[in-house]
Amino acid sequence: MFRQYTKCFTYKDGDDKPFNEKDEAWVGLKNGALGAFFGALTGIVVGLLIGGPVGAIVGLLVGVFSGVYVGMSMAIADVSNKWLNHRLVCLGGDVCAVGTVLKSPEDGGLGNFDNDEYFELAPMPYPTGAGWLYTERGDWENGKVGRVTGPGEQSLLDSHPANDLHLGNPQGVALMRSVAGVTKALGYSKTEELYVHCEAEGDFWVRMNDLASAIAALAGVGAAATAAGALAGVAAAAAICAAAGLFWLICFIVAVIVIAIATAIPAALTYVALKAALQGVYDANPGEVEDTHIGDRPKDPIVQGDRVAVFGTHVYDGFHDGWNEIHPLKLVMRIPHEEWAWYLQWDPANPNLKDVDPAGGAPLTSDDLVRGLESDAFRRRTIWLKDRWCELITEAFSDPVHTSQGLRSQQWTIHPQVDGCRDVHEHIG
Amino acid sequence: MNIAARARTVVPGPHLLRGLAILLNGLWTSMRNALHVGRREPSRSSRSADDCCLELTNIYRRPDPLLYSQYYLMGLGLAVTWDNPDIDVFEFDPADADHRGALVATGALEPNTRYWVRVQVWNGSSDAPAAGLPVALSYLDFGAGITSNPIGTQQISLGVKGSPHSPAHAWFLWTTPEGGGHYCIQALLIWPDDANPWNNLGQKNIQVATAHSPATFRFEVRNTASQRRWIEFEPDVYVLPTQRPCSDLPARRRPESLRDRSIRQLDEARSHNRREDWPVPQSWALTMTPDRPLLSPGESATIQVDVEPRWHDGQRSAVLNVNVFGVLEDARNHLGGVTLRIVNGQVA
Repeated sequence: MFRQYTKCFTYKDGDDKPFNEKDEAWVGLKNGALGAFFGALTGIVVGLLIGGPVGAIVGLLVGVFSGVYVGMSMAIADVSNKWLNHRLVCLGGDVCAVGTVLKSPEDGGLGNFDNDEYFELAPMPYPTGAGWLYTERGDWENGKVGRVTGPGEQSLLDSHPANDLHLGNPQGVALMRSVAGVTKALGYSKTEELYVHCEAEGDFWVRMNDLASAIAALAGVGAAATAAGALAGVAAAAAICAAAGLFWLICFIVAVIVIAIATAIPAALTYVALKAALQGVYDANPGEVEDTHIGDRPKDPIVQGDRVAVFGTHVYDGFHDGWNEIHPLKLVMRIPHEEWAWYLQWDPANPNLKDVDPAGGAPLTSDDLVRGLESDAFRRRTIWLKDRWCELITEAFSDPVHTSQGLRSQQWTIHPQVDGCRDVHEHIG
Repeated sequence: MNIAARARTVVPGPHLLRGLAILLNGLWTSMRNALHVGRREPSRSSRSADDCCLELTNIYRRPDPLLYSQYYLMGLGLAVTWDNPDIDVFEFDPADADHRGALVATGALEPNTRYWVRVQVWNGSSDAPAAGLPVALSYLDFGAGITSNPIGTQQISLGVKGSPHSPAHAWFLWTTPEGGGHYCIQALLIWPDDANPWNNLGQKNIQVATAHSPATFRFEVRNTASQRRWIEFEPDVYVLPTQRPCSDLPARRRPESLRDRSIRQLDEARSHNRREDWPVPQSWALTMTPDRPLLSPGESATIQVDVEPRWHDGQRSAVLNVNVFGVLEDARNHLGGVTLRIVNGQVA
């Protein structure tokens, strides 16, 4: 079963904008750093009033710990909430697409605080050779074809603009363009997301939220230890200078070195501990590996060049520079190979390829193959192939089918006649 | 807007705070760099076939098109019938709107006659359909280990388990050969990214004869191996069990994973479908001639089966399955089989 932790929200032009990565930095630092600053200040003042100089030192350490702990807890809760609930703008529900994987699936990386897994999809029938890679998307508002890497390919695309992913490709147009009245006023990257971005959800921010107290406590201890190290460094430097009777300049240099060492050690230990904790959170969820039949063979991972059908929720992701994507991805399945005409790709440089109509109709002509989506027959075939997949996939996610799958008569795993049972009183719906 | 720019707008005056904001921004960037901003190295999963990629564990799905597949089921340790419930033959009826007539027994097909063959295909996956699934139909000259003759290939749309498109059916118009005789019909499902590719081949191989004293059947076996080997026969009287009402099954108190469920159900299926539990009754008279032929590579032999069941009151038919194995030293390979239906009275 796919994982979903986020909820897209309804946005209309002019509403509060989606959570953005620049907000993430601000929310994190303002809470953590300001918390530490005001915590330390409060601790010093209260400590001084209660216990004099010793009390001030203790108050400083307690204040740093408390400030970082509270600030970081609040920051994690705030970012987590925005990440999960105010980042993705709903664009109209679940969608299905058929295309080619442009690069093997990756994940966001710990430094991005994002363990979602994703890949880019070039919607059928867009070609995927090296020269066809976009460097800038087509400008759908001004009817301008996009820029691709190969000069020859650029010339072909300019000659047949209906094949541009953003101008005429039926899936590209439906999935990638800004939606008037919904996200038109938001930014849309010209160069960042040039294909259909498909993203399966990770649980990093859900787990961060669950573990916020522990992580904040770890950070608080680290911050207090670092502050204690600094104080110890000052004391040690003063003692060395006094004992050795050093010249003031040498004393200053010694003090800087001692304080730096005394501060760096707890700071480094804090960093190592925090990174290990975050990495643990990042890697924690391996998914439902038990979700297979006993006889299933191991999976060959989805890789670059695979033809696939995908299904998931169509959203605008406002976290980056802004683009439409499929998130969460609920299903990806491989369209095995070309022998059975399961896929169609525009290949104007090879007009003599033998075409077979999988529905048993007339094959596409050389002219159709060169013109691609400018040809009605080619366009019809593209849509037919996509719909053939997408109707079955959409059906698989429908409520009646889910209800039916819950019946005990559908719990067989070998063959209905071997380990199945017969419905007698069960009803669908 | 970065933090420095934000500081300029939010805190226009104090240079100290502006500097602090720039410092914090630098700290944030350094921290992210230290945590390796950008893409993680691929392959955190040791289960990847080539250590190449993330597996999209809960997202990447494969269909499992299947039919009643005798070789697969025997591999699981289950008894089988060669009267495949997923392959049926129908009369060709010109008067019918889609020219499909009544169900016929495959053991009684006429030579040079048109028939419809229907292949029923199931999907073991609840998530992944198979659009354009090719179903290849062929027939074997009757018996075990005989050459395959293609009838045709159809593409069907197979939905997920529990959907209106599962099971799906492929229909083939087939004209039986001039020579007549009995045929083993074989259906093969072709899907390269199949969760379980071993349950894709099914056979319908049945003969029907009236119970004279005794009923006599003949079928051919062929040694397709490159070495001489013995051919052995294992008869049984297994028939597919009648499906139990679901309400008779015990309720599960705790939810179980798909894997655990499939293991449990396989164990239960084994307990209900053991070949040892379906021996030929001692009271039957059964002879096979020859009973253990030794065949050279490519050599074939006609096997005669004489069987005389002991009938109970009102019993109209009985079934005998003959499973065929090729034996060479310690290796014992399953070659196929045939289900023989003995009718007490007229041939059905």
